[in-house]
Amino acid sequence: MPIPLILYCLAAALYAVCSPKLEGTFQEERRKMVSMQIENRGITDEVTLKAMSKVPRHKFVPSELEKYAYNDRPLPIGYGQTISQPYIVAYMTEKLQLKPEHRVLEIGTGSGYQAVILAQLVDQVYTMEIIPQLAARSVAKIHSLGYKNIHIKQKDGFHGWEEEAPFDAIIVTAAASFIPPPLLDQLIEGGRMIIPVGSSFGPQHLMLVTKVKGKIKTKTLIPVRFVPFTRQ
Amino acid sequence: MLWALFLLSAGITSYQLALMQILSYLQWYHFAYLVVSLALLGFGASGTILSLFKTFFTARKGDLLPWLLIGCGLSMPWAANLTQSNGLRCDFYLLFVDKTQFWRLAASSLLYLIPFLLGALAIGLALTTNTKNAGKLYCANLTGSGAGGLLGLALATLFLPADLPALTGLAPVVGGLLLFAGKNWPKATLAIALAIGVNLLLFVFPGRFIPSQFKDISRALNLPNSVILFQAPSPKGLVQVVQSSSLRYAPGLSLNYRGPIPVQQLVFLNGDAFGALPFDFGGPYLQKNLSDYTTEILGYTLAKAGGKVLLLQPGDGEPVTQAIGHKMTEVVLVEPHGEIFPFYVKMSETLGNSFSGQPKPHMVNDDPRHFLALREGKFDLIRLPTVGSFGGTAGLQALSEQFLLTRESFQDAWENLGENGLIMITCWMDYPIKTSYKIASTLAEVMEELGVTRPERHLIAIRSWGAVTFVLKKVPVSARETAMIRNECEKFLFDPLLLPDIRKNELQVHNSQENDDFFDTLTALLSPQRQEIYKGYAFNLRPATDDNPFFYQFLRWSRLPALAKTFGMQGAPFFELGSLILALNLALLGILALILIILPLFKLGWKSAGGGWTLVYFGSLGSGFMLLEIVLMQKLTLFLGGPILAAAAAISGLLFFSGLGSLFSSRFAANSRVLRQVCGLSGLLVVIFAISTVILHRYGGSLPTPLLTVTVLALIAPLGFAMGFPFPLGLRVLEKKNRAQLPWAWGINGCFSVISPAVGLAVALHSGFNAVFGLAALSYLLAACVNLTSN
Repeated sequence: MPIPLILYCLAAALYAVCSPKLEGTFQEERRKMVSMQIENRGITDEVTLKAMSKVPRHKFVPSELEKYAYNDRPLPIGYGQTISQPYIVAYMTEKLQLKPEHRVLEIGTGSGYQAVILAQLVDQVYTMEIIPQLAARSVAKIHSLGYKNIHIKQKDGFHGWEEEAPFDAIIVTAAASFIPPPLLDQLIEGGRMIIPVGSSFGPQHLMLVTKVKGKIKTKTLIPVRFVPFTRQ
Repeated sequence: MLWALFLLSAGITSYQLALMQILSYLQWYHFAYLVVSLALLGFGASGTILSLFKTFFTARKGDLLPWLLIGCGLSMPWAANLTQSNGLRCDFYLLFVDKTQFWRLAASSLLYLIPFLLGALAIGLALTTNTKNAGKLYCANLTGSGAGGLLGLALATLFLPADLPALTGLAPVVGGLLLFAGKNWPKATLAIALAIGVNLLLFVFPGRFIPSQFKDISRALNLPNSVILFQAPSPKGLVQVVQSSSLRYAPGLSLNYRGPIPVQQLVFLNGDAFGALPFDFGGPYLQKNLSDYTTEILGYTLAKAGGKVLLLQPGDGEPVTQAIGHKMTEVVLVEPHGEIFPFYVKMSETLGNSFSGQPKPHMVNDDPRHFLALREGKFDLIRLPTVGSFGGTAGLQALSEQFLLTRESFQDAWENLGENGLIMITCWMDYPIKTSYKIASTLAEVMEELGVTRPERHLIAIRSWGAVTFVLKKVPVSARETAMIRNECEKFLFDPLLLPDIRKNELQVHNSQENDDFFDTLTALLSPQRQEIYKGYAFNLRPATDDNPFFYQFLRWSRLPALAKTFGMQGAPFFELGSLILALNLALLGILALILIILPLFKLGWKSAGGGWTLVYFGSLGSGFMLLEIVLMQKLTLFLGGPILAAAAAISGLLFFSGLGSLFSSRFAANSRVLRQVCGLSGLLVVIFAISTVILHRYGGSLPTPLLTVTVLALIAPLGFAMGFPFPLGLRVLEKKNRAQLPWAWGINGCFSVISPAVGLAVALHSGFNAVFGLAALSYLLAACVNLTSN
């Protein structure tokens, strides 16, 4: 047997031995992430917790950052975008109070991780990404994971997804200094919209937007990474 | 030799400015500050090398000097280009997630250090081996540095940042050419021609300088169909206008707005979003007045109809269109950014065409504080720029002075108000809440100082989902006005925040918070219990002042452990990145400088005669000079209106007059008595200058800028002249005392010159700029004191 072939077989065997171990490590890290970063901070919605336990977050981050995938922080995914901190993903998901029959619109697909989490909870997820490279990467990733209930469109999220509107919930994953009026129009009566506000790697807080009897109301939620500062 | 030294010094200073420009564009100002400070340690390192290899350098001085100059000039563009290669490019934001970024940062700093080191080796070698002419040589060094400052500004006005290093590198190369005179001409000519050729080649093909992916400009360019429509260099940074089919601008828009939001062109300054141009070039103005759907409607609800409006540093065109849309008879716009000014001119023309019959805005290219000091008229509404940024900041502005947000600034604005005038200021909500609290505390203290009785009837505020607008009104708000405010709030889905008759149940009708802490703390800040909040809150909420103008400095170091515990170590830096970088900078510079100062002692001997004197004397001179330089820049920014003019006047003026002093010092005998006198005199003149600036600020603020500049230069002249004496005289004294220590003294002076600006900034943050004046004076007095014992 030629030497290169022997080396190849050895490498393949080594990979076969190591890979399950790595997967196992990620599984353990994911379990710890859910328990320490999410449950410990008060997320109780079982469906959300189950989704967070199931989705392999490390597959949505750049390969060189895989080892940090389950750390308690956002990570860069390229093009100046980030994958949100795990707790933020869970908190936003819980706050939407989703039901299986709901249709959800996500503005800012990014890595695709949030869309996949949502797809565990509802029938149909519609997600839009403006940056063509990120959209293409997410399409490939989501298809490779076999999700059929996630619809991706590479387009400016400002206009929403008019053909599929209205939506029971809208999740805006990239902070913007204004809320596009078409999104408010595409929110169903009684629907909920959630938006993170803050800098990429810095502290973020969430804003919940609701539509009740046609009137829009907002609620600034507790900063999601931490407890509020109160005067002493 | 003198001209060569002059050119070398000019090249080094202009390169330093060029690096600040490049790094501020690629990353952020504080990253630039950190990297350039570390690179400047090349001056300290040159002293260490000259000490350790004194014999080698002294014996080959004539041969080495031209090559050092050529090497310095050549390495300037190469260092800048190499740091942008794929393996070395550092992204500041990624430092917190990717450890390799630290190595990249270290490698970049080392590369940037090379030109400074080579240049400093040449200057140090020239000075320490020819102390007889130290006065003349030091004069060439100082005046060259002063000229380099002006050259740097001129180049930054004419060329893009990426082109600058190759151009600044030409000055040392030409200096090298002068040193070759009378030597091996064919070899020298070839070397010089090659060096100039390489620099010119790098000027024509400067390589790719790609800004961080997290800069606003990168994000905008990632959008589909993005295109840079225009770009132009300026001393304050690169101005770019970007257009994309997806760029829209409507910060803080009411949730009740249902109209179109047109695509707009955005202006970027140094890669950071500056504002929007609210029209299409050449096209008709079609946009609805979006600003009326923000909390800034408050100002126009209360301002006298058809009155005079003063818009200070509006940033973009929205406030201008809002003012014109409300049919204000006179709209004065004060914009300090000269590079943005042409856009306003264009906008003014377009607006004139769109709002026929309305007067065009009157545009003034001036610093807002300077304009306020001129008392140009009485205004019905003075609008200050929006404070903070959407979603809060990472504290990157903590170290930048905001003279428009100090207590004195609001008092100045008050003096410019008409009988029923009002001041309007808007801030973004940040979490944890800091900005809106600090504005409230500032306005509360201003009202106290102005003797406003019943402040609750003068201060009004409304709140949207993301912003708060405060209005400080000269006359009490009437019941009719409060009714109008409530109506506007209902119409736009805003909530009243401060009204004379505010009710608790109307605070959170449309936009609620999870608890009442925000409202309780804000109320307490407006009450006499304010001091308790200052003491108890996790962040610094004390108002900024002209002496301590760091509005965005929120960090309380005593609370850092608690913050780190609450937010996690990875989150904590984002609350005050600026201050933390300063601390990191101080620590790094301190350690490295200590190593550089100690190393020569292995050769000189630990008990080298007069070592203590050399260390204290030359260390004090390095500190004193640089401390004064940075405090001058800050103080003059306020007087002269704009940091660029201030920097030019301060640095170039001080260096020029110091150069004259240095030249004149050759006529004096070098002994301890003279050193004592010149250092004592310098210290005294620093104190006199500090007092003069207070008087000038109080009584000369309204003088025209040219007259103010001449006055300031007249004040700097005697001070700079005196400060030029101690260093060359000290070198001559040291030559008599212990000649072997001369390179060490040069290194000590270099190290302290690099550390002291960081120390000065830390002192200013804590105790204000007057304390930095005090520290500079003390440095010179210390240098005088170490000469008390001997003659």
